[in-house]
Amino acid sequence: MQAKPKMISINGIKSTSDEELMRSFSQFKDETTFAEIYKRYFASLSKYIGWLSSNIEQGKDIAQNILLKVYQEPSAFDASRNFKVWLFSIAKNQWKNELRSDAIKEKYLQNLRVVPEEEEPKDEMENKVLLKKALAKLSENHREIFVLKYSNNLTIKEISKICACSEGTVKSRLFYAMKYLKDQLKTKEY
Amino acid sequence: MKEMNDIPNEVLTLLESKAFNELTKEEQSLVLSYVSEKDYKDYQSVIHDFKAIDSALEFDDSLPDLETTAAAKETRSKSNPIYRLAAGFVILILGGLTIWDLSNKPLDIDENVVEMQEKTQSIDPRLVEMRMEIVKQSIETEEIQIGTSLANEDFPEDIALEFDALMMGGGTTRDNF
Repeated sequence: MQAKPKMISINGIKSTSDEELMRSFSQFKDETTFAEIYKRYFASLSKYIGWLSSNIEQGKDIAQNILLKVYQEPSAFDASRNFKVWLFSIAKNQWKNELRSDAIKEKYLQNLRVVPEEEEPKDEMENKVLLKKALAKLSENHREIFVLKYSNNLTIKEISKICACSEGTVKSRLFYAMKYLKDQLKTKEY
Repeated sequence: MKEMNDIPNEVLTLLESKAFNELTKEEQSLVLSYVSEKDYKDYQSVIHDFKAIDSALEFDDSLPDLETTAAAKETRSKSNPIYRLAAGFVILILGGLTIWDLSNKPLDIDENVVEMQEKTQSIDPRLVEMRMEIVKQSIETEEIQIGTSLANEDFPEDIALEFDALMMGGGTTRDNF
């Protein structure tokens, strides 16, 4: 039997699970509750789409659109499911829809902008640029898994559900991605 | 080495958290059954560099005014056709005005042209006759077949005028018209 939703106090909000927050928000439409959800996921959703599209600004726009939809229709989420997997699956589908636009395709190969630190040694900056370029060249399937693991910190199980593949496939793609990036960086060093 | 799709999650956890020389003997043994020590270090370097780039990305994760954002998106999508019609209408009007303006504007006449016209109108006819004689003599020596007789009465008058214009440094009258 599903627990009855309850209004969450501000003190307890940080320790409350995503699913419980969504249940509460769906019932009470409390802005404070949704603000917590937004805070937890805006950056990671933006980065996920940003790395997929190689355009962080686009990532932010799409992330905001997705969270706006969640805000407007919280009942679309089934609280018995994993909220994180649900949210990232929506983000993945949203990105695929965006790719249908020719204008978005044009921008697809742009690199992410990284603001360099003033004191950063030149060779470290070059390495970061090389890594960004190598990541952009990686196939989307491999890049996606690498990003979900090391940017969004999802588990192998969660990634397998989002990508609709087995955990074994996730692992082999992950290592393929790391090997590819390693080889690309080694090639450019010489 | 074993296949990567069978690699235990523990190896992935170690890869993110421990340098190779920090691994226990058992952990090293586990890791080395899947990757070499060199690869382990290289993969760690890639992960470390990526996380450095990733964590440098900046975001404002404070909740925006979603009601206003939603209303703005809805307004834009509804009024879009009207804005397009209005923009098209303005472009049409501006285009029409530009064409009308161009058709009514008098052509700018080069000042040099006016000056040349005035000069040619004031040339002394006796001077023209002298010039014609000089030009005729120079052409006769070259034996150029121009389809026109070199007899005095058939000699084209304007060539003399062009010669004079050349002397004045203003180009030929033929060039200016």
